[in-house]
Amino acid sequence: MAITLKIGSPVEGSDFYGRLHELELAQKRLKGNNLILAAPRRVGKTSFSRKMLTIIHKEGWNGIFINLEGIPNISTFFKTVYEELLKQPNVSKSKQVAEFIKKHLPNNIDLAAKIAGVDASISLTQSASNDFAILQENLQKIEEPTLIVLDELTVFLEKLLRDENEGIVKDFLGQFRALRQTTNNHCRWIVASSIGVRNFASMHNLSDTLNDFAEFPLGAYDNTEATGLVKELTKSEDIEIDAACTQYLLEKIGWNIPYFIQLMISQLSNIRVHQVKRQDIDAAYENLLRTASFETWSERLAKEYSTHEADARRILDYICKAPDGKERNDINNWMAETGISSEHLSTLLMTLENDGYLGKTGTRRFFRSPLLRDYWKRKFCE
Amino acid sequence: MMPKHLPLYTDISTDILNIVLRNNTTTIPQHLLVCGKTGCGKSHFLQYLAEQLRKEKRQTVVLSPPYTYRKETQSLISEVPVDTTKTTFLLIDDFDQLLEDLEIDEQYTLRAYLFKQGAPTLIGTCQQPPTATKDYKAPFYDAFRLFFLSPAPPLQMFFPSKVYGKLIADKGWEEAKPLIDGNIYYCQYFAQQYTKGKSINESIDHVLKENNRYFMLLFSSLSDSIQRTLAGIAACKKEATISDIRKLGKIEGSNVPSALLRLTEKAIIKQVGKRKRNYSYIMSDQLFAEWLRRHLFPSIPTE
Repeated sequence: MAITLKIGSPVEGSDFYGRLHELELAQKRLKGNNLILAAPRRVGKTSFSRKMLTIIHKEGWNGIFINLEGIPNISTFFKTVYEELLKQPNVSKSKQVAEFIKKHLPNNIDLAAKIAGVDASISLTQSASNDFAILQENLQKIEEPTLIVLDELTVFLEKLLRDENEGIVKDFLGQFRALRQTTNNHCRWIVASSIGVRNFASMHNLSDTLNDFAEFPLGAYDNTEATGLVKELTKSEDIEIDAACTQYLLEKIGWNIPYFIQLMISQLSNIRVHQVKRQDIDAAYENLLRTASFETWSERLAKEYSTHEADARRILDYICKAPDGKERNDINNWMAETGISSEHLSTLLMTLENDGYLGKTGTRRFFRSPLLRDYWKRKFCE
Repeated sequence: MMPKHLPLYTDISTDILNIVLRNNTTTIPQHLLVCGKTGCGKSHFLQYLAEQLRKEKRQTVVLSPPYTYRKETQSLISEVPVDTTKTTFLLIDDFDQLLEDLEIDEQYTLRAYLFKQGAPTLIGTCQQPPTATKDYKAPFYDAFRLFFLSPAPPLQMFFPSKVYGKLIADKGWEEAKPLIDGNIYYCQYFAQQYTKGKSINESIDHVLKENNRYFMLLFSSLSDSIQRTLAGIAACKKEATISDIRKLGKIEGSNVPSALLRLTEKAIIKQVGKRKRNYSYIMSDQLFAEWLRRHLFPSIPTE
């Protein structure tokens, strides 16, 4: 079945391509750990975690996926976990749990609805505690292995912080940790979050609440998988591309995450190429550069980096010159003459990573987007 | 009423239809944004896509501005009846305006709604990709497949050569030209009428009539002070300074600068440089300006 070219939306089923090694590794790691899928935006965390669910379903696990973007409060979070678990065929068979949840859940919803508007923050927190206690008690009774994927946890935590306060976030993360510990035998959790959940926890001194999670980094495709994806996508778009042009396209992108490959193929499709030549790849790439607007990336440095703007620009100017990025030691040496301390440089690099400017593999930092890198190079360094 | 055929963007519409018709109710849909400058025909293009999708017997809901009542729009979106057998389509004109009005949490809720299995496919239009799709930390960062419509072609393309020759020699054309030039659909409507033998004035009247409802809705979505500011600019008939706007819009008080900012953000007006150390403004859509002059504030004197 032909793979479908999709830009920006998570892919599923036969549209998911590759990552065989990571999927196998994640399965192994899940046997003893909960995982944080760590990667910048557009790397494919959601698609990967959905693929994990289809794999573990086939092995008889329960598996649920919860997107936390639409979850308004803690109480709804616990309620959603209940509801999604109830939809699992194995959980429904576990009569004890199903009956207990059916018995308790409606009361809690009514309670939450009745008290909302009176003293919502306190009452809803109390209601959330009840929901948490019920979930904690009964999650232990599930006999089958179960995987719960939480997408966009940081978005949810930031919302809690905006709507409530740091204390509520701390309570929630504490409850969430307790939930994982008491369900350790059967339940595994994957947290996928495009905006670093560890950084969030560290900023608010809450790192201990997530210390049982093992980091599972998701990076670019290796050359074999990237080549395979190009082949599949061009086939589906009725485009012919030979091996040399495929390599040229991948070199042009530099960081071979599916998103950039999909974007390039869509451009080749837009300019109606049938047999791809190097100049078509150049034209497609230039089209992408022309239609994207990167001014906000430069403006944000001026707005949000205040006294660190000059240092941030110097780092970016240096790194943009090398498509595959620069080693940390080289960045240290380059920045030495500015008198910046190593600690401050680390913080600045981390901020640039969190803000989407840079990616990191081992000790190497590189521009996360090849398009942004070229924009930066042309505008500020040539 | 739509023109019978679209002479332009045929390739893009075919591409878009090919992409979205592949979406099905068991997958997370591919959403699209169609971007293009004022006048290039985004709104009509969206209507054309809606017609094509309905021909394919797909449930299609079109939302158009003004998005005055943000919450109502949101609930409308969340209540879009979803066909469980085939993908439903949600076509949103000026999607950037809608996003701009949503709080960050509301944007996340909308994203959660759109990016789930079986969700309606969104096709939105905007002048350029909105900030919420470009900012790395924004909810819709790089979430859409983008298509760009090219600007409107030269005027003569809409007329048979003999008719165009007659038109440019016609008295009154110099005054009428700025009202439609640069807007593909105004040109199309006008050309249809003029080629049939109608006069320039009759043809302009026809174009105004066709767009009456849109102008009425757009204008009524603005607050009183913004309406007065806009009326002041329209009445000026040339680049209007703040003092022109105050005088012709009969405005007292200090609301004009904030109204100008809002109107500029919405691309209803544009800044055109400095005159006497103050910025001047004109309306982006001169036909809308003419509609205002003719129908809404006839009592405002024109310069």
